[in-house]
Amino acid sequence: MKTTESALGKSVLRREGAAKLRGDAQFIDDLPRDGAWFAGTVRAKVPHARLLGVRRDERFDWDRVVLITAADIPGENVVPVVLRDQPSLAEDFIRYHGQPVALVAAPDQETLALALESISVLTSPLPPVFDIDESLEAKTIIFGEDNVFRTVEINKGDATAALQTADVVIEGEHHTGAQEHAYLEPQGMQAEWTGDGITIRGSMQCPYYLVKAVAELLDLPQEKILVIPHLTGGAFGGKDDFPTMLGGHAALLAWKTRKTVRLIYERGEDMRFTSKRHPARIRHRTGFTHDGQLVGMQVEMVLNGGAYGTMSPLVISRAAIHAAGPYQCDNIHISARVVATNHPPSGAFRGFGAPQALFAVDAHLDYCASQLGVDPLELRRKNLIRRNGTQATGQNVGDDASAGEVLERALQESDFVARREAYAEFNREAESRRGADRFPRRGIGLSLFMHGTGLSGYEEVFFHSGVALHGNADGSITALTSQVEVGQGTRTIVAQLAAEGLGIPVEYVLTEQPDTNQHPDSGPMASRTATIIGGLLITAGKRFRAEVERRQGSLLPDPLVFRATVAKLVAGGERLEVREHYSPPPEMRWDEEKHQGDAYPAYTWSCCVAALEVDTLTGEVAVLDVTAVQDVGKVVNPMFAAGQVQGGVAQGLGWALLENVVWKNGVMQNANLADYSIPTAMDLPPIRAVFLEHPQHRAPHGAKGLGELPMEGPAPAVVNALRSALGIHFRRVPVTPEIILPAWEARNLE
Amino acid sequence: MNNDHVFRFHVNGHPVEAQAPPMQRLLDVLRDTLLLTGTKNGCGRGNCGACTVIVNGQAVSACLTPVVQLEGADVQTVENLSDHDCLNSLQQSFLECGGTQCGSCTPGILMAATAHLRRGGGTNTEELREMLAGNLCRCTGYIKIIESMQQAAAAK
Amino acid sequence: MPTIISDHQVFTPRNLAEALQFMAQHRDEGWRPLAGGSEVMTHIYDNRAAATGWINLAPLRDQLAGIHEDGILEDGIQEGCIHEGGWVRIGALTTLTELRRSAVLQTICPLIRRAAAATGGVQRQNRATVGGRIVSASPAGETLPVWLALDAEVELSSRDATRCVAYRQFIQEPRQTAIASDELLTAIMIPIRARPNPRLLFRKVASRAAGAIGKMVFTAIAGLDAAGHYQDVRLAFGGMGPLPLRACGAEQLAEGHAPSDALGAQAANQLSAELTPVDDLRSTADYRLRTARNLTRAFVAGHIGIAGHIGEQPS
Repeated sequence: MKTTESALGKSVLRREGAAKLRGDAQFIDDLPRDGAWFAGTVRAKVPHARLLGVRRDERFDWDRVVLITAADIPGENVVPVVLRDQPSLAEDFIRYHGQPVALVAAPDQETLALALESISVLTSPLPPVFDIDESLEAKTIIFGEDNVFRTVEINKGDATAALQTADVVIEGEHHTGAQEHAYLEPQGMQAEWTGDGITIRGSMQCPYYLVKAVAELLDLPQEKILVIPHLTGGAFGGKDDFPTMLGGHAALLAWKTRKTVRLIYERGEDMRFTSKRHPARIRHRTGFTHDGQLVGMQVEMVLNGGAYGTMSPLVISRAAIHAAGPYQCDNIHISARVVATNHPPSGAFRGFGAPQALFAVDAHLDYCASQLGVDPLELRRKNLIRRNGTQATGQNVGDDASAGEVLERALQESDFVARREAYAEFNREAESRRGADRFPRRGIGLSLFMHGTGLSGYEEVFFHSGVALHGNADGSITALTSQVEVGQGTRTIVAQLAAEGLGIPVEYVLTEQPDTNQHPDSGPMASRTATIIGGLLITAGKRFRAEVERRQGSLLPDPLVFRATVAKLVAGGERLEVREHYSPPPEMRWDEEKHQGDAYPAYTWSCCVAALEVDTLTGEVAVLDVTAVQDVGKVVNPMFAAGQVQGGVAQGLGWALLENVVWKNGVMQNANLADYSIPTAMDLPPIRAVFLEHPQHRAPHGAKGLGELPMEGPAPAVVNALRSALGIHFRRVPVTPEIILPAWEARNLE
Repeated sequence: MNNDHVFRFHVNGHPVEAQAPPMQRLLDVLRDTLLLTGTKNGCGRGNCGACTVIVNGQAVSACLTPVVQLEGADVQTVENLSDHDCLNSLQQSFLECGGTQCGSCTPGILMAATAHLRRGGGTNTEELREMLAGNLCRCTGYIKIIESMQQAAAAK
Repeated sequence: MPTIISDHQVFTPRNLAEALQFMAQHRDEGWRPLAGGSEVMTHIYDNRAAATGWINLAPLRDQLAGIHEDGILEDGIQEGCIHEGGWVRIGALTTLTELRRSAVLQTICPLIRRAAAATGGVQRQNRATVGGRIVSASPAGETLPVWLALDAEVELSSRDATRCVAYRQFIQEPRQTAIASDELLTAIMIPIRARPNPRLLFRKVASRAAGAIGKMVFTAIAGLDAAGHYQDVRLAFGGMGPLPLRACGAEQLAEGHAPSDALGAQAANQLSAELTPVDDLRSTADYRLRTARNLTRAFVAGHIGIAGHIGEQPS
């Protein structure tokens, strides 16, 4: 008799990998066209205005197409995300350039193009508001009474008093830019009228959002709405909240036409009019003793939420919780606001507010070290959170405290100290070299950070994640979750985790494309597949096995016997199904209003080292290599985990150095994949991912979140490396050559 | 206005007669007419490489290739790489090394890599980075794509 | 108007004579040549195409693609030098990939290979043609400053005549050239000129390492005579204005002097008077000028640039 070897920690091959490699994995735009109509969006061409109506050019034969405006919506005209402030189609006001005003469906693309050309939006302009300060002045109101979507305050001790008595107080203001997700598959939805309801297929992360949204929009019961997330070609948060609007649009057209309607964005439309990462301005006032002990932190952060609330109220929460970084300080005040402007709505993006907060705190800390005359490594060692240390929310991290360990390991893996010295020597000698070698300067820098696993306490309950396992006639077991495969490897990982709980080979577990009829709501996003959902799957697996063994009346350690037993029971007409729902660990306490308590069940700790070379003739930066060390508790699939880290670091390097959204009157000017420059293979260095695995008892089965984390390290590491190379502290990402070169030249004139 | 013409060329070894307006993109002919949807429409401007196919031995963007210029051409798409369900060695390396994540860029990268390896292009990391520069990937940071290509090349 | 692809007409000639005959008959009717299509297709789908009638040049590849040396020195090519006497003729339909792989061009002037390699990715290089790039005259086209620096001439053919025009004169206005509506650009001619101790530079400065349109492009060529003085200095830029251009003032300033930091600084200062770049979505006027000054200063001072043969194999 043989028992099953655990599949956890094995690089199990990607389940849908072969289909993707053969080219027969279908994304939404690959579905057969069979009679489907093509849809397009009529958009406002001003950033802020009163909407007067639409004018149809009567030279076009409007009987050839179907047109929908807000007046045609049978239910409530709302995109229900958090605040319910966003209409599906504009009704009274235009709040951003590109806001959908009407929808058109046509039998073919040329007719659609002509129809879209034959309609114009009539508006009466209002003064637009684009930046944070203008929004805070509240002379022009876009949202509520003061343009603030949400304010989060976190208090620990008495920061004001601490800063008054601190030996040294250092201030710093940092800025981060918008970032485009640039998933390779543009947004798309296909909706089909089924006689008394709607079936929607599309590229998305969160199918359950869409069920609720479409039911409200069409005034139909939720059970009449079936959402089938399609294989999704990259998401990064961009297909979290936005598809709630897009799927609603497709559903409206399917309802009106009684046909199947495809609404697929082309790349430029996707880049101009879908959400971006929230731009941020973050101010720090930080108090130290003379020898570098952190005694007080004040953080004042404002995020630019764009025209509507979308995910902003949750993004600002995560930003605030992460704002003090992985540092121990007894007196902290964090004030975080997210405000409305006439930009397209900002939305979810890998890291969900934390990257902005962590960039500012770790770049600032490195700067503080330079002001204090202390080695930044020593400053971190002195102040990082240790065992039983407390976060800004008062959360005692207990033994979930690997900040020091990831730091030391990263120093060792990257040979940090020796290289820092070698680069300093290289830079000192630069001018004495001949030829082209006199121009480059080199630097190495690091960032230390953490990321809360799963959603914050409040959100996780809100999403009441669930999973189910059921037995099949052939003895295999299907794992049901609504976790969508967006490239992260969900299907494979879900099978690994369910197999672990069941104690059977991973091949015996089937994972299906989820749909909202059969699959329980496992909640969306936020690096949760391996952790929250994984925990549920393992528990469900154990219960499933116990149930089978109970009915059989004996233990079934041999997987073949177990499988045969499942088959026999199912054949005998028995229903084998186990469901599990998330409830937070009983000792977790969270006060949402005060943002006090246990924000997350666990934290992933990480240190990112970046070495780079600056061409001082042009200010161009070449990253030489990156080392990312993280304690993830438990690695479920090493190949996937390394892939997540490498991809996340790449996206973080893009945000840090290259990806500059150029705005003009609230419209992205460089909305194509050449001028908006995500990194190519030639821009990226070798990226090493090193994992520590300290199982965390409050994290289900020990695994902590991974997907978002690696995005967060590069920006502060790059800015810190630039200071090491040039002796200049940069306060903004992306830190482009247009910023670097003048700063370097000004410094050399001094 | 009907401006369709018939264009004759080969796709994946099979003769094809495509009826289309002359400036129709090869991308649309492949995806809409021939239902070969493995070739992806990532940007439509030749910036992302997702629609890379091999025309007469060379990697090109199907979105920038008008069908009128394909008369008599030999076009190969990702659907031609594997023998039925059996992955070829390059595809198998991508599976084993983690060279595909979301999969949108994958067909284009496989075709660019195939053209490169077939003509005996270099396989050190720098050469492969340069060869990949016309193919964007947002998931992998390219590391495992390069490893996949090197494993496939080494197996030859 | 939206993109209606079926509105676009195409005439496919069988050979050059037929193409030129068609152009003569249909001059001023708005027909435009279609070479590799990479620019034209982008323009069509961005609704920026100036024409809806296209002359498909694909069948003319046999006649109009290829790199030939005319009147090359009998005693072989001296590596890395730009030779006296004769021309290299590059057919207009030669692709950028063919430029990259040409052993002849690598020897005549490795800058051409670098400029071709800096244009887009492999996919674009396989389709984009030398002639297409010249005629579309994108302000930051990578190869264009190189033609300028090499004193290249373009060959323009019509049914009734063939003429050669200095590339410098050929580019007149942004995105416009001195080509008549019945003329086809059939080749670019590179004069083979000897420079003693040549030093060469090609730099594209862009938002990323590949696949982005340049913020600025700089190419420089200079010889050093026996006394160690500059001879035949060429400093050419793209992206510094609507047209590729040469910084003639800075060239003259350097001419006849020995490289030095002081000379580099003077040349850089001269640039500020000569170049008036603008802000656009890709960069700022300030950054472009700083970069142009720095690269010029470093080149004229003798710090950067490759001396003669650079040891690269065409790939």
